[in-house]
Amino acid sequence: MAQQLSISILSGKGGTGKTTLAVNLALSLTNVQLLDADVEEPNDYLFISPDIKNKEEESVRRLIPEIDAEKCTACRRCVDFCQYNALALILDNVLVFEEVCHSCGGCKIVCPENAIKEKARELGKLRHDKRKNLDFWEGELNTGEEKAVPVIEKLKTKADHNKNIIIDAPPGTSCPSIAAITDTDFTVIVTEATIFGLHDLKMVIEMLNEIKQPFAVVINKAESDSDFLIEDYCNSEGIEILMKIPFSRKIAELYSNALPFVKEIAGWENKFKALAAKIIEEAGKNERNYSN
Amino acid sequence: MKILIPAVKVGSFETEIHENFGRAEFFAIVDSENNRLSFISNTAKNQSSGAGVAAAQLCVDKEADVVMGYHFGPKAYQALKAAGIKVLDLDQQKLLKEAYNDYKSGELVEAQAGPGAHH
Repeated sequence: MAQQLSISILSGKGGTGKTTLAVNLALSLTNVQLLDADVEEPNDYLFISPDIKNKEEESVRRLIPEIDAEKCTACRRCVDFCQYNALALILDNVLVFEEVCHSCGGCKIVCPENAIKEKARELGKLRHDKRKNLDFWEGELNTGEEKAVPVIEKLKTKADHNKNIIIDAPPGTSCPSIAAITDTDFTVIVTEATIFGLHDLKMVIEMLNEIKQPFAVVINKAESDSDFLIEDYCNSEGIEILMKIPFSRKIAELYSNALPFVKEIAGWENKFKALAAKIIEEAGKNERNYSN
Repeated sequence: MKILIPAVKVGSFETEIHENFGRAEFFAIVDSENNRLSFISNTAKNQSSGAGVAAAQLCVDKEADVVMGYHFGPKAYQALKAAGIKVLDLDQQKLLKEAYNDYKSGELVEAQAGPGAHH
């Protein structure tokens, strides 16, 4: 089968509607895979697979150094080597701060005494549920862990390119967000029509332009008297607004009951199908730009 | 006793204490034997990650007996305690002399590890 489209859903801050968009879009399409990469707070499962904690689970581990105190001569080379300050030499003992370690393995290489071994540390979990028409995966970072990227990268190894892939990315502009959207064909940014929404939208756009990622915008909680905040900006920048999800009590109530509104309010399934068609069209434009 | 206090600049006992430990600009070093004051640059302040650990390492390397500040992250705190350094909490003090005077009169209490910086 031909390679299908991969779409990442992103926002500048949490609480703008990424989950709403990702879930409802996924449920409007067939042959689709949804990857919830918002690993610090994955909540797509509430709408897709409420009992996912009982489903297939996979541990995400990474290697961190373990110091053999017998062999260590406190020469300090590992401490000086570590760019992340995950190691400290205190009273001739090397302390390891596991959460800060980036698992580069360099300390082990520079140790002249062969006193460093690596051990696996679990930093998160992947969970999987195969629903009718929808293959669903989520990544979750364990409480207290700081490094989201390895969980996201592991989650993305589950991508099935025979399906249309939707990735719900972590909000923001830092490494986890970039890890989630990298190698997706197109990014949809969700924003609210508020001054804060516009501010965070601009930050995300600056980042996407930096990494040359094609994108367009969806306005959530759209209202006729404030949409101009986003519309004026997008018009002046030549950015496409693909859809507006209205600020509606009905949609909010359904959301609070973990019911995807695409299945509950007539007409929305077609709107999301039209959105997918627009995304394919926009992504296609970009492909042509690449070939020029 | 060798006492390290985060400082905003190289100055005197009138200099302000820096609000941050790991990313302080400088550390003031006070020798309580002779009340002498000196300053060192905080080489940890521009580290992209683990500034608290690196600043603690600096305090250990400078053989501090006491470190004081407004806030210590969990990793910096752990490193300082592992070195047997006394970690004291500052609160209302603004200037180095206020922190040092309160230390001498025994008014400072042991610090607790607070939440670290968010990444």
